[in-house]
Amino acid sequence: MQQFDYYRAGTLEEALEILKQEGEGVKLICGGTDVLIDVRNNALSEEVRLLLDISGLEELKGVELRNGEMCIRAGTTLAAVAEDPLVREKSLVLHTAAEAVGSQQIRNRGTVAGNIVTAAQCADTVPALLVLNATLVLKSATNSRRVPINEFFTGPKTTALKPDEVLTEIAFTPPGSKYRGVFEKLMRREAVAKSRLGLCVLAAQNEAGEVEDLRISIGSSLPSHGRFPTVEQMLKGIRVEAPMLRQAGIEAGEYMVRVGGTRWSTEYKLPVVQNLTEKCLREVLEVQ
Amino acid sequence: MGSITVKFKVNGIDRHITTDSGRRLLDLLRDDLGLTGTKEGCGIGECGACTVLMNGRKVNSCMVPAGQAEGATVVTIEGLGGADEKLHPIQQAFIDAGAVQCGFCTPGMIMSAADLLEANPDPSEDDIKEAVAGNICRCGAYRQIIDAILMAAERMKV
Repeated sequence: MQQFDYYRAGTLEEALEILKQEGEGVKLICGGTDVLIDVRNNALSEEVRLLLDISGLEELKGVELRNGEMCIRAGTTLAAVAEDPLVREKSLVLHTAAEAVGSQQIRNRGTVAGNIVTAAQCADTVPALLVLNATLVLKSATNSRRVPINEFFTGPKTTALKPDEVLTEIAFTPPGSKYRGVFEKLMRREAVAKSRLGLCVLAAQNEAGEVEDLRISIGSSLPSHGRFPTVEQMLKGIRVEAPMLRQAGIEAGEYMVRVGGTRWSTEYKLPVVQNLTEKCLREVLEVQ
Repeated sequence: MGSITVKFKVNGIDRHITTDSGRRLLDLLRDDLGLTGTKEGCGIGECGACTVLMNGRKVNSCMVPAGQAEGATVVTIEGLGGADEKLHPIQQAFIDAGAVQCGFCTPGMIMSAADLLEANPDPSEDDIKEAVAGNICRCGAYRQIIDAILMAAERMKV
């Protein structure tokens, strides 16, 4: 097993200063539910010498509405997010996605921020945050910047997070009462399993039933987390009828193959993506 | 590897342990304190055999770095019955319902049940299934485990 020193930061400022000094020699740990598995598997970068624990920082805990934005501080556990009445009321898809992660034991320790920065393809909360157009606040000892989540994932398991930065907050504008959404996760068993596919749809329709806004995202299917822009464009501005849903599903599958290529799992995933997209759209757009 | 000192409360007793900084809460409990009721199954947070209550909520102790136990209150299977070491009603119900086969998952199952009944004293069968979803029984004694938790809930109402 790899050997590390362990240090529990007393303040965010102190943690940022350590990161500035030590850079890639430091691995941040909060919930620990991914990091400890990497430690066990000797899977952390060879440069890592210190596990820097930020789980005790009260300044990184909590959910609040601030200037109309929903703000989730990075140290907030998945359980706290799933149980938060504001999250449930203002962003049901995130509530559902947070509740879908692992077991209650995992959710009591793991964080939404950890789910993001680990950049695993199967991260359940990311598809929800993609349709919510979330912004990530990244802080270093000398800088603070806001990065849209759709620009955060730069490739398989890689992100825009610099070695001296900490993701401190996740923010998004609640979608409003016009929007309906759904999050669906497919896995090998009904609980405590990694997502084989995670699909999230968020949509608003006008009184005539025309689609005013549509956002669809997928996990575990593209090279990195992303949306289905061609499917979104296809249905925006129109009143959707059942045959169009089939077309939308087919396009979702074709988009996945165009962007990600054909893999051993494509034969299985293609019809599943097509059918799941169609099913979720039917539910959200209330098409008979 | 450096060492760290962890001060925490386990089963009502204040503990002060200096240990390797790479250890986990599970190692503190089993190796440093000899509380071997808590089991290590998968070691990656999937089986729930190492479930304990930490600050009133259930966690996989294999997923908690020792340093995160600092200041925490931890309850293990050994402390569930209280200071007089009597069996907790959930433990008794597991015996009475025949919910123990090989017994390896039992401490974790019981801690998950304790976590459930603390929050929901009158659970439905579905509530119980959901509550123990993070605990795997390889003998497949789920039916008896559910019966035991229903039995414990009934007895604890009195």
